[in-house]
Amino acid sequence: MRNKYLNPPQMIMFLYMGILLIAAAAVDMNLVGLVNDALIKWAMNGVIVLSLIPMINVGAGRNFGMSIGLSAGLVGMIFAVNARYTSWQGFFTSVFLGMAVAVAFGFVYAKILNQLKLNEEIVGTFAGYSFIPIMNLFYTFAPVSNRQMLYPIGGQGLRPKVNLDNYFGQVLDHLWQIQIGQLVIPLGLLLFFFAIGGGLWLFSKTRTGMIFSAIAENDRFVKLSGIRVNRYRTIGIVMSTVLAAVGVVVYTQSYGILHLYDGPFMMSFPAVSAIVIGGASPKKATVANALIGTFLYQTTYLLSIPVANALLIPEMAEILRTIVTSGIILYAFIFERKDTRNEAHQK
Amino acid sequence: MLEVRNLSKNFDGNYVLRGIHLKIDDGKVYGLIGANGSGKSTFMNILNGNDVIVRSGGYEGSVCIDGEEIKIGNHSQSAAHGIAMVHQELALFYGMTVTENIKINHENVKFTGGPFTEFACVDRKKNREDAVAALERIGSELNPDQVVDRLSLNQKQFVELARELDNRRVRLLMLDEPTSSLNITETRGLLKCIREIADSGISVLFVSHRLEEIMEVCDTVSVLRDGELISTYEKSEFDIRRFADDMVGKEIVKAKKEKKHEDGPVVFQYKKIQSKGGDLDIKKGEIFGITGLAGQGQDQLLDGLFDLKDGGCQAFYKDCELRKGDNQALIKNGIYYLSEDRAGTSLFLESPIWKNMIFGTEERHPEFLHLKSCPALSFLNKKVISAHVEKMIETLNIVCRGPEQKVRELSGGNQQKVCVGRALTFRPELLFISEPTRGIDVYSKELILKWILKMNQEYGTTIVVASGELEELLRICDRIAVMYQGQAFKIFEGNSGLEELTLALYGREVS
Repeated sequence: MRNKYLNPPQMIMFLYMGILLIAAAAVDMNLVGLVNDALIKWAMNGVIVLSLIPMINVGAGRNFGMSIGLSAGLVGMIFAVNARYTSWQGFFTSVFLGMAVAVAFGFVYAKILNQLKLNEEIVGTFAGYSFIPIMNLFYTFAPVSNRQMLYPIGGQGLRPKVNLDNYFGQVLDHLWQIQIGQLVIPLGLLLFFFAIGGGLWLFSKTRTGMIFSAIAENDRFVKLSGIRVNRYRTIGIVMSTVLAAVGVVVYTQSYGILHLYDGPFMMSFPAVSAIVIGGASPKKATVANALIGTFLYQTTYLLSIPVANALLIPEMAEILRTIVTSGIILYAFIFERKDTRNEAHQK
Repeated sequence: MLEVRNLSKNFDGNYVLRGIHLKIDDGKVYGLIGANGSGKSTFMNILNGNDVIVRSGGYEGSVCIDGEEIKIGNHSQSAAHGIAMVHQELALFYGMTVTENIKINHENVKFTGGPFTEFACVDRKKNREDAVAALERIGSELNPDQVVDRLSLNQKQFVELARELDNRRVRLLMLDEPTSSLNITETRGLLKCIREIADSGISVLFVSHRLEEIMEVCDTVSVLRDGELISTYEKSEFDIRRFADDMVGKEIVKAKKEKKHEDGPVVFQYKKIQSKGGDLDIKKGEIFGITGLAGQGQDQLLDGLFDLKDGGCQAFYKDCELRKGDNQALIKNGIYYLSEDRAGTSLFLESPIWKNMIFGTEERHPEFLHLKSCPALSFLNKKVISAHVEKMIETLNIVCRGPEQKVRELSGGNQQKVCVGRALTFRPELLFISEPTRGIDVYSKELILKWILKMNQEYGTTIVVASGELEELLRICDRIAVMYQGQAFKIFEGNSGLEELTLALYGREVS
């Protein structure tokens, strides 16, 4: 019998995390500090992982073309920083403008994916890749006047990295922080994260949510029932793109640096890995999958570097970490495939 | 030749086969019948070394060939003992020719030997000869060089049969519902061919829901019910009524339309489909049957209208033209289609029964939603839905654990009942239904036919049934159109005879 709540990859991941924690304690690391970092990492990456859910559930695959949505968020932030908006004004301008741009991008992206059904993941990967150079052109020629964002020499073209300390860096992280001894709980950030998760969970219970999952399961039947499949797929893809834009704003304010150009290049892979570890199948993902997966992935990521640095020669740390985390992701993928195969046989 | 002793099989402690004893002699046709879920498929899967059986812990009891016990742990072992099977669902390689499909995995090769057997050259000429011989043996005139994609369903069935027979070592041939997708002539041909195969010394295990075929071709028949062997009959004792009684354990009352419908106004029209260029009119409140041999255009009328297939024809509903593929408009007008492809277009196999039963009906049932003003973002009213689905499960007699059970776990007949349940929930004005009784047992068949009649008589639904089962159509329909070469060859009133109808299938009339 299969455990309903934890599948083997998750159990191994928890075990691995436990070993890391014990090792961290053994080398006298500041455990409370690690917990503080883990909470921030969880929420700052979590929104991006949540953004995968609508597309998976509408049967459009895992959003490997996430850089399209991320770029929309970056555009929002460029505008906010250029206008020298600070604090909440900067944050919410970035979020709302990013969402607006993401709606437009999402529509085009949906048009492409609807032409190429069943191959969304590979098409998405390439759509995402080819979108980055287009945005690079935009960053180079964008009419920006804020000198802090421009290359110091020549005064044309955005810098690859813009520091947000004077604008809206950590604005959400610092909202309603609760301090218990050394432990700092970023309540505002967590609430923002949970609110988006809760919204998605409620959405999955609505009629539209039901139609989403129905399309993922059997779109011919849905079509026969007089429902326009492409319309719902478009809604799902736009939702994912918009949430990715919000996600990157949350991520960036926490990170403190606006990373342009190739910044979004590889961001879809950790997100997809996280949700796969969380137990999402290619056609069904829940908010719980995203929460558990992000926590496991980000926390082990966070723990393994200092632990390996302390226990092994520093160069080994990165190598070992990559082997273990990538290995577990590969295992999660294999496990997921094996699982669906077993189900197909249980007639 | 083959003897099975005390064969049992359980899935997680749940016995689906219990203590089966039977013996199949060389050169005999052995029939196996039973209702849906009685264990026929499991029995054959055991003999065939199927994956599912092995994964779920193997079987109990023993299987003997020529008195020697054999162990069947996988498909290769079963094939090595000369057991072959033709599945109900076709298993062909698309994109390959008939010859290649027949000779797959036992090709003739040139220049064999040495360590390079895997890279040996395929002897195409000899393969083709073998394929022709195998096809001839079953009386088929298929072109061995044709690619299988374009073949009709029954031709594909012949390719499968030829493939199994081409294996010279085959001693037991198992056929799982080989005739379910064939029409009368094709069935005749196949039955004759089965007889010939048996006469050549090969034993045949024949599973079918059509009892007439069993009567015709089998030498011995065993009846399975709920995983147990109820009775075994020799040819001289064959009696169709006893078969049916043994299968279901209760008497079957055949559904029949008593009072014929009186003429109503025309609600639906297919333009220019009659042989003289006339229109095919469907009148309000009637049950209209459509039949024909495979590929004579009847599927275009239904699947074409709902854009499941290319083609189709001009259609009018209440004098408004229906655009092909505009399913939204069709549904809005209360036109509903239950297609014959249950798994492909009528069910969410991985979803619970309740979702399958109410999907697409929310607009006609606002009570299923909490927020009636904004249906798209409304939550589902689980309480009302559960009550409704439970009532449906009870009235349709669906064997299940409850509304939350996945549809995949139900047997074929019960899945079909879930589809009918959805149609009942939808309450269409005009219902199109294709092959409503395909692949389900006699008892469930009558139940579904009864509900079709009830929908028509009590709710006034106009129904169009497309089916190859002439006898059933005659029982429930007011009028029946016979399709021939893409046109409605003739329209019969429901009280015509079976003979007239059968002749019309071939484009002939009673002189």
